[in-house]
Amino acid sequence: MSESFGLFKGLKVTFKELFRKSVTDKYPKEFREKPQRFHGRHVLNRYEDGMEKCIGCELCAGVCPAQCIYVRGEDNPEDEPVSPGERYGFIYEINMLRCIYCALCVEACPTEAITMTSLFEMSVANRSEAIFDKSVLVVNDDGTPNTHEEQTKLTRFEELQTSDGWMRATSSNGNPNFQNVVNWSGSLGVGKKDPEKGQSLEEE
Amino acid sequence: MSWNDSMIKQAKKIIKMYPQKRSAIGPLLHLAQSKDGYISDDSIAVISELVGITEVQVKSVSTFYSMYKQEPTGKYLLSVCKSISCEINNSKEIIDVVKDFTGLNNNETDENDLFTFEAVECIGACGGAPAMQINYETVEGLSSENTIKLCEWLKEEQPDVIIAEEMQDNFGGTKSFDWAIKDQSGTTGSVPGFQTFNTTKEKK
Amino acid sequence: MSENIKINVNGNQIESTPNKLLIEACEDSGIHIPRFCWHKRLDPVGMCRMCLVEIETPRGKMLVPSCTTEVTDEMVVDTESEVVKKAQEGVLEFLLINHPLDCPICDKAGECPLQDQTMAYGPGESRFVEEKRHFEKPISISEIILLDRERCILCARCTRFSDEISGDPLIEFIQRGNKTEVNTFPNEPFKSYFSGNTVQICPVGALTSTSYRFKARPWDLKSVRSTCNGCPVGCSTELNSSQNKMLRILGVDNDSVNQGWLCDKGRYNFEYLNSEFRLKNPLKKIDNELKETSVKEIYTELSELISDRNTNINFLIGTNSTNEDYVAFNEFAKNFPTTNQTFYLNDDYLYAGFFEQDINRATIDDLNNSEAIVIWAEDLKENLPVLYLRVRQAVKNGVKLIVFGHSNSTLEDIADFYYSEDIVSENFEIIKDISKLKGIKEHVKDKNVTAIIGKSTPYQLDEYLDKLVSYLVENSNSKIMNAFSSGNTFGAINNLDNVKNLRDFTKNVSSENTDLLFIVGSDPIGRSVFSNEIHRIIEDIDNVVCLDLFLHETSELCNYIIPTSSTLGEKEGTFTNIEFRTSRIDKLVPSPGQSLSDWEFISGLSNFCNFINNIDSLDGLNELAYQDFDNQDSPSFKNLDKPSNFDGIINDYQPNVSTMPNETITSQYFVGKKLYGDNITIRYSDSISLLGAKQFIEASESTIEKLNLSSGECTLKQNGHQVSANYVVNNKLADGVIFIPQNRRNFNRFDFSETIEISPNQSKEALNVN
Repeated sequence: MSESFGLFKGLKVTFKELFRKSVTDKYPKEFREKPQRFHGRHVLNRYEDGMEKCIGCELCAGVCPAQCIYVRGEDNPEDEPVSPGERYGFIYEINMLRCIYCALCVEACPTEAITMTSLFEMSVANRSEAIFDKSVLVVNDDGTPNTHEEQTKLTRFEELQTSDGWMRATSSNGNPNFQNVVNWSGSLGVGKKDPEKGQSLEEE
Repeated sequence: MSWNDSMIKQAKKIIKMYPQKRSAIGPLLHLAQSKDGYISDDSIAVISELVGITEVQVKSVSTFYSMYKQEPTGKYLLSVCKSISCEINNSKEIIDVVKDFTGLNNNETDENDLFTFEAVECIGACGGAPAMQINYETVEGLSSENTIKLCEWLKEEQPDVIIAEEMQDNFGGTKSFDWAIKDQSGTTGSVPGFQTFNTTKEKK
Repeated sequence: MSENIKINVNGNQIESTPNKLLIEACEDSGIHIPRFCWHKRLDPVGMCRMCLVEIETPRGKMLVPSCTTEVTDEMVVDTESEVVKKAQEGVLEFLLINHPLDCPICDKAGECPLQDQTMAYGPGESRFVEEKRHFEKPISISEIILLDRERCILCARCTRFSDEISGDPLIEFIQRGNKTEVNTFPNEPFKSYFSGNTVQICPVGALTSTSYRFKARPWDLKSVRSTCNGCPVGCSTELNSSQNKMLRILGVDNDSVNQGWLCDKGRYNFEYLNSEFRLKNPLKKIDNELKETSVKEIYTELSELISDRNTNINFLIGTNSTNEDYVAFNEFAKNFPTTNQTFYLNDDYLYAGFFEQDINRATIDDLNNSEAIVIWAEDLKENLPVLYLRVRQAVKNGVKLIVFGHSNSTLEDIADFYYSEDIVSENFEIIKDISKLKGIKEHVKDKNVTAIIGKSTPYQLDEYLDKLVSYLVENSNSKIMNAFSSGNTFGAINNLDNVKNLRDFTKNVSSENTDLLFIVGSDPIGRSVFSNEIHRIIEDIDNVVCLDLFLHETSELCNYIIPTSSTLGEKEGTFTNIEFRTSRIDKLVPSPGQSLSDWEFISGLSNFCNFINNIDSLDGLNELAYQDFDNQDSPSFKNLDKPSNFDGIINDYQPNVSTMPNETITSQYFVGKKLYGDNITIRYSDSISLLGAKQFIEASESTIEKLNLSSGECTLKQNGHQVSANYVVNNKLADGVIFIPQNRRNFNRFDFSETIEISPNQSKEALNVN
């Protein structure tokens, strides 16, 4: 074999790749469409009347394999209850540096309080900021996730609207008639969620 | 102790009839009911002291049986039978009529403390169904019209003594059969105590 | 004994003794039948129907509740058939109809039998979409117990416990049908000394305690097995903590001691561990003011005092230390030839006791195995509560009970013979001929007898007790249990060479013969009836070192105060109980600040002074404590840590208690202790602190009439000391006897050997007029 032929053979790969469509996005100028069940940053949801859904049961903290969640409950103040029922999540902290985004906390939550958004830009200037507490985690009054200010430049507004991207495959109330039927409790700013593909609101 | 000497004497006589003191709770509760018209907490305290068990144990017995009244009844206790024979003979209508007339639900007493309405299990007048009792005096073979008349009579006349035969003649219909001993005395209190303890022989 | 019988369960042959319950026989052979209402220590009731199994009968297979069915020979049982499974699913579905979905916030969730069994045997789905039944939640049925009626599944465990075991049925089922609820009588709270046990045996979260409610989730808890050091019964406990805070104490079923039960004081007297008032740094008194200092400085100053080993040292030792602490002090004292090694134990009731060779020592289990029990001691219910439960259990099993004296009036209802008034005098002397008493003649003479003997009041003469014991030893096959009632007394008399009591302290110790006094974990000024004398003595002594958890009446007087770790959950060691059973005390939470264990401080001091007798490790102390024992049965850490020895090891050590016989002092009052007192630890345990705060005296109706009391309150006065208190009518007390609880606040400041003036309280109107 001649040496020049070897050169072209080597460049063949280069040329082939030169005209192939790029796999990378021009982030942050362009955004890639994220899957519906993307495991991004957590939020703590609220009911449509503004009450917090978290009741401070610590099931998320118990199930977390990375042990990055710290929760403490407290009795609801009688005159100004934070959540319906006896208790509310008084302290809620997630160490985002430790979190592995497995969504077991979402699965464990009995009140659909904690869900995951499609947000993933969480750069922080120091480690203590990476511990998200209730001031960051609880959704805003319009139902959008509460973000750090710098991140809003990066974040698309539409993404904020679908703050809880992860959905339950089966009904939350355990009623067999509602198997595979979306049965979310309404959330602040969003109301009841539309069903995903494969789920229906109609009984078969 | 809130019982007077003659009541205590009577109670001690009852207790004597049983091998164990606590067996006498039933008749003692009847005695208490004959005094107040219901089982008051004071009576329970007296009984518990007489029998030597705790108050809550007496309370447990007295609340278990629905014929021990836990709250004061009105002047007239209207007990309409809802058991099978009466049900077949349209006791439901009688119940509705009484409910409409008095405006009371089950086990309620009106504001003037005149009527207490209750739907009860069999009162032993199946032959003359449908039947009801006013202060435990039975009227049989009722019709809706007669029931209303009966209630109106009670409301207007407000007789102090209710006599079964008198009511039967004025408002009743078919009577089952005449086996009972004629008791012309009627009742005097709102809810009479049963004279059960007179039927047992006294222990010497 | 009848022979074993064979039954067939799920095709396997298992053996059982006759008359055993089927559920128990299966349990013993490792076959688990789900259950809610059945509890090993309670009578079967068959309330929940969860334990339904199929047995073969002449009429074919039948579903029966295995908790109320006794095994018979050749019985054929199926616990896993389709029918049984369907029955279990049905039972669970019904139980869950009205059971609220409180699991996420319920204290029981995670260790809840209803949760577990619904997972294991439940249908998985509910067909009920209707609204559940609601009750007001939670209602407090006593100061320490809360009740969520909607969570209750009506298993009757709590009502049966309070009726059968503790004998104070103050909760019962109210109403019937679907309205049934457990509740107390209005204004009659569940004020039992054993109410905490109902929380522990509740199979759902219906009963919760104020001290633990919402404090932690069960999966957060760290736990360790330990021994309660509250009284000499030494109940086996499980300590639970979360985030280094002690949160809960549970009873462990130790068959020969507490059988799973605890008294409420043992269960809830732990909150003081987390108190902000705990001492955290060593303190030193400079110009009558306590200043923070370091342990090293205290060591330096003490070593100047003691390094020539000629100092006169005395010890006033509390009963809340571990055996290892006592050994350390004993070793330390050996360095001083002059002290004569005397340890004054902080106990008014301690006396020489009955430990002679010819006296058989009783174990707690002997109560069940004897023909009669003779009790002459302090009120068992107030001072040795779980022993009181064991006495009740024995009486239920048919053992005859003979009680002397009016101190044990709580046992009167179940006692076969209750001797007071005309047989036992006001001064606790048996004034009749013992051998002529009917109960003694019939049930004690020449029978197997277990006697619980102790002082009914600090002023009782020793010879009175001697009289009864010598009668028992001579005339029956008796076993004697010395009913000392405070903490690790038996560990102290086991490990200290020469033990004396507080009365001896007041007689022997003075500033002339004491240069240095160690006060270890005790508050005699706040608790003892010799409060005034001890106060004077301690004030006189120049150098007083105090090792304690808190500042209190006694420690405030001391020159040096060293913060110590609590024996409850903050240090390791061993505990010896009333039957000389030694078991493990374990550490779960760290102690605050610079706290040291008692042994750490005293061994450190010997080390600092270069003394010869010094062992500076816990294992070394433990080995030394039990060096005379056979290696196999010695209660050393090595042996106690074997699972078979978790319940403790009984030893037969002959202790040396040499208290001076009490020959003269008598009191005209009946002085005793109540379970909840004004102890420093109870004062700082929030949920029970109020229970020990009430000041009262007890007397019979006629006595109260004689004192002209009418308003419900009275004033006790003596030499300028004045306490206003309520009075309680207790007609079980003899005429003229007035009971004064010494461990309620300020009562112990009275001199009970003198007359106390009891006068009716002036009404408030009268005060206003003047």
